[in-house]
Amino acid sequence: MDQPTVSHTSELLSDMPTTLTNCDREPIHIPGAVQPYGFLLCLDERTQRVVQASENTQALLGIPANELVGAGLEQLLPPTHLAELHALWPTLTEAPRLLGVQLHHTPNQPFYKLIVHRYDGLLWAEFEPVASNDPSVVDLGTLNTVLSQMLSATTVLDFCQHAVEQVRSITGFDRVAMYRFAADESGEVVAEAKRPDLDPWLGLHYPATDIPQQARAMYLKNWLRFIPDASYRPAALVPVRNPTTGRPPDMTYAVLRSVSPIHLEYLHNMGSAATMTISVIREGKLWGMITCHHLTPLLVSYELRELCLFIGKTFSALLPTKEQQDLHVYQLHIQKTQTRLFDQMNSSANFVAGLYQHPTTLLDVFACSGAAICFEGELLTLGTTPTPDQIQDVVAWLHQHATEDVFYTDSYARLNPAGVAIRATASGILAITLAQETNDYILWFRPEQLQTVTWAGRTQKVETKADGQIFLSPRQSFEAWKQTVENTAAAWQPLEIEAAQEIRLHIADIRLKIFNELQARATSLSRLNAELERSNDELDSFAYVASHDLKEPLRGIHNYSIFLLEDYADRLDAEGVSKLQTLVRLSQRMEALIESLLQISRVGRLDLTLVPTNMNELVTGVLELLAPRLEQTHTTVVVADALPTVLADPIRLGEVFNNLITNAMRYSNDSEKYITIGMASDTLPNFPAPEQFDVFFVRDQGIGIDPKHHENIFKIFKRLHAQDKYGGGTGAGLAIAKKMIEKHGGKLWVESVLGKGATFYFSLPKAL
Amino acid sequence: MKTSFVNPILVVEDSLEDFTALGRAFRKHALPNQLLRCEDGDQALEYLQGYGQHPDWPSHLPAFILLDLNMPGTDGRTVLDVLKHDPRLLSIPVIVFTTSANHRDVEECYRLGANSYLTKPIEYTVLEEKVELIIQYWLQASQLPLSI
Repeated sequence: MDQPTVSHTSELLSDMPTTLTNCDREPIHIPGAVQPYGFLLCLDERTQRVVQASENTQALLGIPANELVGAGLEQLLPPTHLAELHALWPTLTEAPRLLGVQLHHTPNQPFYKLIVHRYDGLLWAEFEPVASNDPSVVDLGTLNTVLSQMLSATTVLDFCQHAVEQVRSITGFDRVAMYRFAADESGEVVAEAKRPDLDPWLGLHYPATDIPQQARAMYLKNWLRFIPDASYRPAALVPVRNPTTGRPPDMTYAVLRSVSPIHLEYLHNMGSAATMTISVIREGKLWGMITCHHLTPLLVSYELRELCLFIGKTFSALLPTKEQQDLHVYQLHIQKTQTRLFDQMNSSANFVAGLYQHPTTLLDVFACSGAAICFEGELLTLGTTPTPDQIQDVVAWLHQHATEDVFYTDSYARLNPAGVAIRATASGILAITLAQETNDYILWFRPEQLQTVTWAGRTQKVETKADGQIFLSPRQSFEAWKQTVENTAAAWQPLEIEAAQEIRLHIADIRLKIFNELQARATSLSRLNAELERSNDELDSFAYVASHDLKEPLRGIHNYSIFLLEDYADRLDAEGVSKLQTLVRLSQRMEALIESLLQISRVGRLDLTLVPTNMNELVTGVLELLAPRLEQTHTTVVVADALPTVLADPIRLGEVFNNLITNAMRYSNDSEKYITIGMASDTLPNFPAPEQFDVFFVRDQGIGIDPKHHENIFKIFKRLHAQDKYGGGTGAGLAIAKKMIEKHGGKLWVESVLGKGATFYFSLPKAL
Repeated sequence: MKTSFVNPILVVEDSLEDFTALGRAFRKHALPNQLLRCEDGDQALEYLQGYGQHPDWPSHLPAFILLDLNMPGTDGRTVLDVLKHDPRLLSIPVIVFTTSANHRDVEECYRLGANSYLTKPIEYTVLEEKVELIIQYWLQASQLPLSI
């Protein structure tokens, strides 16, 4: 425990006026005076005789203090009390013990509470008058109610609210507030019970300096301080200095301890005529205080104060549990939200969408006002954030200055002066890096704390005294606090940072998974490719072997039929001869089919040799090759347009033209046939992007093709006509031609009406 | 002009029917050269590399070889490769005579040193034409090496 130790400062100080600037060094534990509503006797531990007495004995008992010094208590108390005390002294510690006493030797024989403790080498006897409104007993029922209420509180704030309400109902103070200290020791009013006509203090913040260090240290030892009348005039000890130590006695545990004049002024400015404060201590540290104020002087009986102290200690004892509860609830919330986010990310095609496109977003994970996703050059914002440009600046700054995976600050402006511009929305920044070396971040923003304070008095003016001196007041405290927290947001809690880290890891996992899947896909693709290649090779050799092995017996059948015809013609009748001729014809047809099959199985895997090809020359060459057959069939071919140069495999393209021209020549019943070759205009339906493709056509005036067959004719071995009609091809030609064109990146299609001729079009990518 | 050359003509062919058709086409020309058949590559190599050592086999090397490519066991490509690497045999003209019109086969055979590449036609008349051409070209028009 690192409690601030109270140093016994220079004695001179007690004789100097205390000001706001030196109050941190004011020796408040040795004021050498008491509040005059009661009187104090300090006794020698050994002799139990009075060493020092407060000067107000004169006023309260009619006995001057100096007359009491050196004497025992016999002149005040009857023997019964003396005997009680005598039994008590040896066991006494700094923990106070209470006796009810009647001062028999004093006029009117008043009743007093006698509070005794041992400290600083002295026995302390403090006499408090009995308040008129005292309940005769502390009621156990009340205690039970108090406790069960406290136990049932589900949040720290509820818990605070119960505590202040109980203390107010027990004591009757006009205002009871719960102050909670932040990590920087500044305070905030988090709960309040008050008279309805008073201004609320709820939400009020005040700076750490409002409660000086040595006071905080004392509050850890002495849990309850009480001032029934803040306008009192201190009653000095007689003598002020303890003869043994040569200094005023240490009043840390004294009930009547006189307080700092600064504090009294503070109370006065607050309009507080009576006050009581109870420490809330969590694990040896001052967590906060229950503070009570009254507009008029108020004497709360010692028993009731004890009850409040009990509440304070109980509160302190239960506090960790309640905070744990709060934390647990928050933790559960974070976990639940995280899980939902993770599910959303996992189920979205694009995992980033899972962070913002659903009811649950990044904003919901933990307390923040805005968030941004900066991913692959895109910027998405949620809630209240700086402008996109400002966020980009933050990201650029992070990229340079934040090397960790998780970066957080509650005051960005303190790290980067340019951050002042965005303090309203982003004083606090929590950022996670999604990828090293890139500017991929997720950021959460918290506004400047000042923007979120809801104290009703925050807009009041600062009061100053007539002579221009600052006037201590809640408003003044608030102003002072404001300056300490400018550009600062509520701090990021460890569990929030942890949650952000988990989100980062999850995203990393997802990305790794995606990467692995891609890898796996690539691997399986290359495996498939290898398999495909192998099966292609197998198919190749299958087609090859099959064609070879099929052709061999076919040749045998063919040849032997021929031999039969040649060698046995004289022994065969006409029918036998015709059957053998059919056998010869069928074997030839079979061979043609096998040959086509072999061709088509190769087309798909042909490696084209693309070269700039002058289509005019190519067509001319094809026509020269076909010239004899064209002549035979009385076919005229006209090339209608100048043809362009394209990037193509001239041999394959020649085969396509050859096939189309041959078809045009065959499928006609006219004695004179006309074929036109040319370029299609881009007004043609089905014309692909004209800036990318050239479209060629081969047009005939032949028998045409019924549109219902327009697809079929491109299927392998699909024939529309009997074998003995139109030159009887195998039905592979168009299928091969179509594949060839597709290999070139083009398309081959037909436009035709039955009986009206046909036009075959094919497109080729333009040579750019 | 008729050559008095009477070295055998070796046909390496696994298909009996193909060989029969070939033999029939050759017989039309009543050649003095014996038409020898090896059923597969191994047999062909055995004869060619060990000619003269086997009493049942001719003691002469063939005037030329008609070589089928696709045969069970040692195929024609291997036979061709071995022949063209054997200093004693590499001058014998090898005419690949096969079903395959695959340009890859054609390329490979010429690369291995084939002297000619002909495809087996399906129609017997075409076969007869090709055989006639072979005889005219290799036995009449061409000068064959004397070392054989």
